[in-house]
Amino acid sequence: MERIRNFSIIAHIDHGKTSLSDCILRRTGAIPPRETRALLLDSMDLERERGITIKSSAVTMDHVGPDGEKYLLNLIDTPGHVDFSYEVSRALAGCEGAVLVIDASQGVQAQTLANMYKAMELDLEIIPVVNKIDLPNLDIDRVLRQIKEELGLDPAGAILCSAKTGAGIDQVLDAIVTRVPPPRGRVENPLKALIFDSHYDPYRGAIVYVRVVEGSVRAGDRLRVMSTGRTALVEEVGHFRLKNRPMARISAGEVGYIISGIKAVGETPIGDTITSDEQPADGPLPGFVEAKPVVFSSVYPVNTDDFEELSDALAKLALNDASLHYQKESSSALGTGYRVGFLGLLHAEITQERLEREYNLSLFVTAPSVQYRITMKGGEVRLIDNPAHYPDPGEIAGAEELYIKASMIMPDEYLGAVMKLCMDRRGTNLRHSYVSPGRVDLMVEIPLAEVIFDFYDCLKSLTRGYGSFDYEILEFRPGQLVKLDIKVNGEAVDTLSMLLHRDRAEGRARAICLKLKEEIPRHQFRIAIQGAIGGKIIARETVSAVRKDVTAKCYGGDITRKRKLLEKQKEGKKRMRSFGQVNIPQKAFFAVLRRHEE
Amino acid sequence: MNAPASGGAPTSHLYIHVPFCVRKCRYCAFYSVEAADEGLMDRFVTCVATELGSRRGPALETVYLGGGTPSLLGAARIARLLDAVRERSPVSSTCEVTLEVNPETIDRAGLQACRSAGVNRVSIGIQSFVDSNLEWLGRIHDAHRGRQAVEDSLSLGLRTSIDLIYGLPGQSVRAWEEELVNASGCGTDHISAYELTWEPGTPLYRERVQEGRATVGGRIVRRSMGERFFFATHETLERLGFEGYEVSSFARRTQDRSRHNLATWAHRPYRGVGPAAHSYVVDGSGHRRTWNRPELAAWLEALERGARPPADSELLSPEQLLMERVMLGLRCREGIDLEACRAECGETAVERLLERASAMCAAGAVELRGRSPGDRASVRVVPTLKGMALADRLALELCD
Repeated sequence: MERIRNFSIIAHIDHGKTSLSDCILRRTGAIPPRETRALLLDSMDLERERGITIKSSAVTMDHVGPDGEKYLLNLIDTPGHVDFSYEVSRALAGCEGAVLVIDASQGVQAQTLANMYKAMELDLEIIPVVNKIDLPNLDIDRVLRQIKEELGLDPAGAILCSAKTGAGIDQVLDAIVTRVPPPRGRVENPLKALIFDSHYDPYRGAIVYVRVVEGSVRAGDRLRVMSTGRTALVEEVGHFRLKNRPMARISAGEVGYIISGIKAVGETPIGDTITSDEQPADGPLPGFVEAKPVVFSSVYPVNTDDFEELSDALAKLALNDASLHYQKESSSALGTGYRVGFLGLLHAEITQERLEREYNLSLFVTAPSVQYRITMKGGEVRLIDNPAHYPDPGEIAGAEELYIKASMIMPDEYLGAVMKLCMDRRGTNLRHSYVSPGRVDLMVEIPLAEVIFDFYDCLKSLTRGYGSFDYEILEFRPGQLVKLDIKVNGEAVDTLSMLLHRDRAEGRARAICLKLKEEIPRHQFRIAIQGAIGGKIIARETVSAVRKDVTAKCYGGDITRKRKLLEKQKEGKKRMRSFGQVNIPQKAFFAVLRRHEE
Repeated sequence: MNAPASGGAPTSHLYIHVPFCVRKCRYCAFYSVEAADEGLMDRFVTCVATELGSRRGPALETVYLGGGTPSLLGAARIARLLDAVRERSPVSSTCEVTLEVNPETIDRAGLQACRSAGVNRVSIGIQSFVDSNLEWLGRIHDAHRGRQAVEDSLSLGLRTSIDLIYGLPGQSVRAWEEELVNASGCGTDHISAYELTWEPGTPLYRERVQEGRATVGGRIVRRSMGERFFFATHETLERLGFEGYEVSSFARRTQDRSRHNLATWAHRPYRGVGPAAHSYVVDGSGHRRTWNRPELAAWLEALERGARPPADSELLSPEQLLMERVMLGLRCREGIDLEACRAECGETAVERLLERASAMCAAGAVELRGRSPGDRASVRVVPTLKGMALADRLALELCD
């Protein structure tokens, strides 16, 4: 155990975490030199393309330390986005040290700080590494100053390296051996293994990634998942090498995998503790929280016939993504689809992309919304994310919405603009502090509903790309909730109803009515489009009646073309949904409900 | 006509497409080539004769020389063309022989020569009586030349039609109404008044889209203005003594209507000759639309080596036939001929159509007219002016 080092690499997004991991793997020979596939740890196409690690992974390496001894290095790779901060913290909980990567040109950013704090809370040894020193025109001194002033770390301990050229990699490896402490824990104790991720394998079921903290586990043992009490027979344990390598047993201090009778990854939640069923530990490891979705979207197949395919695809994704929650729903305009809960916006985006790409589905995903906690007059508490389930307002005693604590680091010249943005978005308790001369960390408590729409885009444009963002979920707080209905010639269009804060209702209603006015073709009669809260109209647009719709010329040579045009329009009419006498094209719903404004 | 070169049953309506222009107008999407020399035009005339074939056909009711700018051929070649037609089919004195004319390309003597060659109706591309409008449209003539051409034609006793365009950027309805009064005042017996359309592929369309003032695919830029122009056109010309017998066609008397165009709209078969010309053929194999490709060089080359010119065709299904009859019928005062529909598309389809049309009567868009009350067999679906203005939309609803 003295010669095991468990470490993680953490960084702000795009600071080169994955390429540094890759470089280390090559240097230690964990990846054979001829293996050309870049960025081994990010195995999904999407991960490589976006440069974001979505799932955690781990690998075991052999390395000869500066003392000439052979060491076993376990690298636990962590997801690289704010939505997955809980997953990151659980992966870090499996380590004794963390390599904190800082981009030499970008310097310290919001996630650099957030990740460092997570590592500090877990008492990890932190090794600051300045990466990308091969880039031209660098101010390394500035980065070193930031390490001292903003991170409070000793810049003398920082290592300069380039994952691209390989410069400094040996120093990083030596520092891991000499500075990261060996794991503690006793092999004789009852088993306590921390689950930091699990992957679904179609042949083996759930492959559970663990850090064994106490005791040991071997094939034939009976394990117990502590939060649920679920037990299963252990079929195989092993280490992570280029491929999984079965071992007789894995013991305290080691990182490895467990394959058991458990099939679904949902039954081995991240952060949970695995113990022995015969000789259980007295209690679980600290820090386990059940992952709950906070962002919700409806997902519909563009072609309604594809619903079965969508169902299959979601079921398959959920096998490997325990945080994906979904429920069937139907809409008069969009057909049958699912209401899906996500950990955050990126999680929603990635899921959509995987569904479309890996399952070849053409999907319509509604703009994200949040969950509200509604207390009824009788005292009953309901969590509601779907406007269709919104109770009669007369029965509601109070509503609450989820708040987050956001942290944004930026050059101080943008502070005023960003503070205004936060206040416009109902942010409260704004505080800021200088992390170093000229750079501020703005902290704000803000409703999640205000952040999921386009907050991050606004922040990026207000700060010319220099603002970085991190958040954590706070709690439910009281909020003025209303249900906005959109009516077309007096008839409410269920698909367009939404729950939102009273202050936002009018602006949103106006925008939707205007959008619909653009998208609903003119009919032979006038169409009134209204936004309403209960019986009160808060926005209104009118589509005037069409009095002329005829081609000017239609001679012998034009007939075929004209007929084809009409045939095409006839096809288009099939994609319309009727509300009363009004035909609304499907694309009008898309335009109103889609995530990004064009 | 019966032509072995491209086959097809005999028809009594002939269209010849003359694909030459001095210069393309900015709004025009018809097929034509600029700056043709004498030699090319001679070859064209010879090839038309070849495409017409050698078999004799039935007497012709109408011949239409369209373009392009057919008047650019000159009276001698026009005479050769019509001689070639007459060699194959009888052309009686009652046959309507129309020549499209650009005022700049023909004078009184030319018109006289064309009349001698057999032309009895001219359609003059006036487009506007305002010089600045003509310039904006890219026309080569001016307003004075336009008036002169109408006068020449009328004085020669030719049936005379003029084309006018409305809905130009900046044009007011009032200014347009003045143009209509001018048009009527010059004595013409037929007016084709079109809304300017932004046809994809034209320079005007490209300019508009590039300037960002029209949405892509937006055919009409100011729709609501288009409505006002449309109704103002019909109302003003009616006051001036014209009948709007089709969406864009107005005649002083019934006999002034374009018989050639009416035949097309009534879904009668017609034969088209020349590059880009369309034909509608009804024979043992069914109802077919065929069209020569819009490629002058390929068309010449094929005919000169005795082959058929490159063409495409489609066989119409009963649903497509119905769609065409409905879409064309709703454009015309004559309305939809349900008897013909019944024969081509079956009783069920017509009953369904009639049911929908009845519902439209209430909204004042169409009327159902029989030869006598209660005579269901002879019922036609006839658009009101309101219905004519919505012809495309109503066609969709009737054929749904």
